[in-house]
Amino acid sequence: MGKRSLALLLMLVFATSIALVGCGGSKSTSGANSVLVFAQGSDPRGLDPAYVDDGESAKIMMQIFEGLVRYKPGSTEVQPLLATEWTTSADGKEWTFKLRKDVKFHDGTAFNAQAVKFSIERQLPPNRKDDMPYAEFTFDGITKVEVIDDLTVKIILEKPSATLLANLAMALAAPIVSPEAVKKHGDKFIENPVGTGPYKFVKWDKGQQVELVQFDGYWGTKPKMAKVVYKFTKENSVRAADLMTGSTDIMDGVDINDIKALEAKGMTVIKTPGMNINYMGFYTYKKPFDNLKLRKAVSMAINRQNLVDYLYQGNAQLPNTMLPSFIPGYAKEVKPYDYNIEEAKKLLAEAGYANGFEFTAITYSNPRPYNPVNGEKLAAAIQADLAKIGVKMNIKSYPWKEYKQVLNDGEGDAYFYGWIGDNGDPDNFLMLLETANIKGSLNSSKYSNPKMDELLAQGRTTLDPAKRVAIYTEAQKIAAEDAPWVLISHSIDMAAHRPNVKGFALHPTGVHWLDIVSK
Amino acid sequence: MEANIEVKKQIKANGHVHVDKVKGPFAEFVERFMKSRSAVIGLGILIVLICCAVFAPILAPYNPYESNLPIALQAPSAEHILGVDELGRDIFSRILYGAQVSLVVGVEAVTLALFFGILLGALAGFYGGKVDTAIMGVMDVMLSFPSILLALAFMTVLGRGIDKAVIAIGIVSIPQYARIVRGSVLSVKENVYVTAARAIGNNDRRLIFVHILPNVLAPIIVRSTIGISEAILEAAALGFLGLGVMPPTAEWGTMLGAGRQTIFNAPHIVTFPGLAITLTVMAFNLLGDGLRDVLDPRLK
Repeated sequence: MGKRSLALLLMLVFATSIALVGCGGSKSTSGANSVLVFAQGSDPRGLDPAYVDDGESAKIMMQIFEGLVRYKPGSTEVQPLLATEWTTSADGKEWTFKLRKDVKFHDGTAFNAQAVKFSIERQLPPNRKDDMPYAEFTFDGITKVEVIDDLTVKIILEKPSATLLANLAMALAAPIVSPEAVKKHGDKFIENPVGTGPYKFVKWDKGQQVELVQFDGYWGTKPKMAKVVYKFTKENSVRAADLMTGSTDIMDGVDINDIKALEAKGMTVIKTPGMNINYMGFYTYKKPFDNLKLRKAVSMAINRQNLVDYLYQGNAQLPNTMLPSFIPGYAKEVKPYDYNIEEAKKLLAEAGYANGFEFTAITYSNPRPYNPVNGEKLAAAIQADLAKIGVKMNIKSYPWKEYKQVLNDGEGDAYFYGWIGDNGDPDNFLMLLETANIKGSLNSSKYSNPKMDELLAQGRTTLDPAKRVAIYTEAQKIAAEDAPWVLISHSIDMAAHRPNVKGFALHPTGVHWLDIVSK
Repeated sequence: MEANIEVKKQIKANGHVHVDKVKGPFAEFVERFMKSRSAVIGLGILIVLICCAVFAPILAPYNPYESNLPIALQAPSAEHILGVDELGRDIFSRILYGAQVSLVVGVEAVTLALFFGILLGALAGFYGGKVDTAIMGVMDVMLSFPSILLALAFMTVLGRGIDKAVIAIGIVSIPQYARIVRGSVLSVKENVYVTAARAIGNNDRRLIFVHILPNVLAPIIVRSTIGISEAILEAAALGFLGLGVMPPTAEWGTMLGAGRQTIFNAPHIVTFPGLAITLTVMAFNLLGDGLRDVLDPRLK
């Protein structure tokens, strides 16, 4: 081959490749206006509500599935969805739901009482499987589901349950699935979800994205965007960069440190109070923190306002009780032991440690949704605060998985931890201080107070909302007085979207609804 | 004849035999060392670093562990010449204290590696045969893993902490020293003086430690100087990955790792520990290079 023909060949190659690149470009931009791209940190674990327990799955499932009821935007109060109305029997053990007419699943199956019975009963004993993480929590106390007629269903409980409605609005376990599709796909339903929601599932490229399209037969208002793509990008900063360049429309999991850059580029950053609590817990069952005065002294030596303002750069709320303020039953008047160094020193002396003392706190080395900096930095900041009253806190830090193990073993004297709420009910937070939950490690402080246990038991079976508020206010007061935890912060959930996106909102439970979003 | 000259040179370099008319070997070493620019620069930086580490409590303007949250992330200023970190701690003070950790880890890890490396390498080189195959086989297996991966594995088993980092990095670098020592021993043991020493009834231990090892010191010194810089770098990598020291201990790699979250709005938090690591590693490398030039008899 002569030089000239070689040159010609090379040119040809270049020209072809340029043309091909052009093709790719035009293809990806065509129809971009009807596609909404949402970037999140990772793949869902699965898309069958019965078998997953993570937020990444919940977000996507909320577009595909619907439950009997749903949360109101911005709060954890409940409103009708697939059920239009409901009544409770006098003893509170029977709930009758009237179902919405003319609702279809994505596969054409009709939504009816049978489907509700199927969805719930596949998660009740004896059908319940070990890998259904939320079945027990969500359907707590349900013994069976009865079909009254095609559009009426009765849920029967073993005891009255105040949290039933809130649970039925959850993204996990509660959504109604198509019985036909579950029978058809079996184990593979987790990758082929079929619900009644505004969007229907198209495909899931593992590690890449999940694609959803508008469901033509949707009973309610049609979604504004024809197609939705959930894209998975692990690094927060990469997700932020993708948003700024316009390859995605909405992202969640915004890093505190990217806010400025995002806002400078004209992106809208949304901040919503999160349904969580970030705390430092004491092991109240053993020395030295079985001593209330000592717990009080340490609590008062920690400048929590400073942590919120500077460690979290203002992107958190200072808690006064473990409940976030939007949860029904939140008690504004409850006061925790606030920052007061002089008082702390006095209490320390009264507790018999006038010359200070030394203890070990265990912590986690990674960021958590309730603690976006990470457990190590939080511990180091508190360590410095405590040094001011002569208390030496040693830090032992572990990666998350290992951390849960050593926490379970009760290593050290204090620990750093947090909680992400499930259903927006006050019980879901306060039960972390229940004696019954010492086993199973939800109550890692091993705090035990019969008064608290009694109040919690009462709250669960009381259906009158006003009475429940009184009960949980009392419980929050006890928790504040006994100080098993130092409440550090409620972290703020953050998302960001491009300026042309309209209607996007984060719900306190961490999910969102894309059918009302347009661009 | 050639072998003879070689022996003379070896002797000279080592100072076992004093010849009056030539300069003493140490004086000659110093003279040659001062001529090597890289060695002098490396040593200069190193002396400054060691002073920083030793006198950190005097030199540091602030307590490296005292956090002052309201000024967190502040950029360098007159009060905090290198700025403050995400907990409001003075970065300059933390870097000074971090020098202690890094130098100690570097030197201790290499000492550990040297001890076992020399022992194993000398045994393998001196005895050869099955001993050689067995020892070097294990060494080759260790060398076939990327050293940082191996160090990570050791850290996972041992847990976090500075002493554990020393052990992990030390063990991982044993094979490198073992190989060098073995190679040198192999060539040195063929020398006539070794045969002579054996002929007059020296036992193996004496042969190895008195007659052979002193003559393989030069490459070991060079290698271990560079080895210290590698150990410092590896310790920093472990710290960056969150397997280093427990907070609040100031360690350069950990500081780097903690600062990467804020790289866009407070770049000084990662810049200065990074520079400190670079400078230290460079100093050891320069010194190592210079020493090689000085100690290599072929370059005389």
